[in-house]
Amino acid sequence: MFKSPRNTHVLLLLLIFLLSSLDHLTSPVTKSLAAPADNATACAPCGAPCPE
Amino acid sequence: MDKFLKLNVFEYQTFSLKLGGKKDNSLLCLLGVIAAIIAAFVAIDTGSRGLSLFFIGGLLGITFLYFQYGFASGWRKLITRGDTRPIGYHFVLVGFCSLVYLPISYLGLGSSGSFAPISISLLLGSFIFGIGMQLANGCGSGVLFTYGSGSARMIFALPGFIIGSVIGSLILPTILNLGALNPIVIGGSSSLLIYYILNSFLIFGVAVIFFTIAIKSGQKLSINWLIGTSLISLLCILVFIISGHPWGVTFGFTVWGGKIAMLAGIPIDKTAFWQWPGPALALKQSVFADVSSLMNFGMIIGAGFCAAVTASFANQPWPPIRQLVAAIIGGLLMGVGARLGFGCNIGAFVAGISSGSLHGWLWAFFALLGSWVGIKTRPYFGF
Repeated sequence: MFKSPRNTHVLLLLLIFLLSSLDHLTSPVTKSLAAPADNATACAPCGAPCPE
Repeated sequence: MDKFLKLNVFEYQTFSLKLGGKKDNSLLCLLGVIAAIIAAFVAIDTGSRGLSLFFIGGLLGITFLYFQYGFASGWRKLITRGDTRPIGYHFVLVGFCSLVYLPISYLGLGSSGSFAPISISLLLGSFIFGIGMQLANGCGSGVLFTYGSGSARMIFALPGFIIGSVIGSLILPTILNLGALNPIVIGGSSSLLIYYILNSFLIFGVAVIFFTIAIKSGQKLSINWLIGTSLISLLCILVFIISGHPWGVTFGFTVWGGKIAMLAGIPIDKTAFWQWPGPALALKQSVFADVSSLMNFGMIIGAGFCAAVTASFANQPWPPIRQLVAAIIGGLLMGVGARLGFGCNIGAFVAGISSGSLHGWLWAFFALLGSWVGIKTRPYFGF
C-alpha cells in the first residue's frame, strides 16, 4: 500500500482533512476571520509584542 | 517589450505541466468533496470573506504549480550558476505588491503592511530558514504547492515544518529577549511620496540590476515567469485587500502544530508564545478562522486539482531515503527559522520588503547566506 507515494499522500490528505474538520466542529463559533497581527499589541505577523 | 524581443532576450519556455493528459478522476472527486465541505464550513462561519480567501488560496496553488514558481530553486540557481533571473522576478513580484501595499498601509486605508522587530531572532531565523529550504527543496509556499501536487519529498517536509514551527514558537520569546529593536520602516517618517518613491526605487532597482546582469551574461528572460509573477502579484494584492494583511504561510503551520500538540495532551497554551493575544486566539478558534491556515488549505487543494487535471499527481517513485531525511531536517529547520525570523519567503521576504519594512531586506540577506550553507550541505544527502 505504501509502495507508491500516491496512497501515502491520499491517506495523509484525508487525515489532515478529518483532523481539521474535527477541530472546526469542536471550536467556538466565530463569525470573523483573524490574523495574529490584527491585535493592537502585535509588532510582528505572528503576534509577537514590541520589544520593551 | 518589443526592444527586448528584438534583442532576443526572452525565451518562450514550454510549460512543464501539460493539459490533455489522462485526468486523475478519483483524486479530483476526493478533492472536490473536501473542498466543498471546507467551503461550506467557511461560508457558514465567515461568509464571503472567508470563501474568497479560501478560493484565492486555491488559485495561488494552481498558479505556483502551473508556473513552477519556486524561491528555493531560484535562489539555488543564483548561488550555484550565477543565474540572476529568478531572483530578479522575485523582486518584480515584491515591487508589484509594493505599488499597492505602500500607499494603503501608509494612509491607513483598512489594510496594513507586514512589519517586524529587528532582532537577533530575525537574523538567526532567516539564516536557519535558508538552510532548511535548500535541504527540503522548497520554501513555505513551495512545500505547500508541491505537497498539494503529490510530491513524495514533501510528505516528510510538511510534518517536519509543522513540528519545527511549534519548536520555534516555544523558543521565540526567549530569543527575542536577547536583543530586539522596534520595526524600522524605510522612509516611514517622511511623506507618502518619498516613502513610495524610495521603496519602489530600491525594490525595482534591485530587480533591474539582476536582469541587467542576466542579459549581459547572455541569459534569456522568460515571458512565462513574467506572467506567473504578475498573476501571483495580483493574487497577493487581493489577499492584502480582503484579509487586511499581506499573505503569510507559516503561521498556519504553527497553528496546526499547536492544535495537534493540545490534542496530544501537551499544554502548549501555557507557554509564552501561545499566551500572546494573536496566537492564543488562533489556538482557540477553528483552523478555518485563521487567515493563514485557511489559505494553506486552499493552496494544497488548488495544487492538487492542478496536478490531478494534468495527470502529474504523485507520479514519481519514492526518492532515496537520504533525500527524505533531508526533507524532514529541512522542514524542521524551516519551521524553527520561520518562527524566529517572522515568516518565510512569502511572509517575510515578499510581504516585508513590499511593506517598506527593513526586516524584509535583512531576512532576504540572511536567508540567502543560509541557502549557501544549505546548498553546500545537499551533497551529504545525495542531491
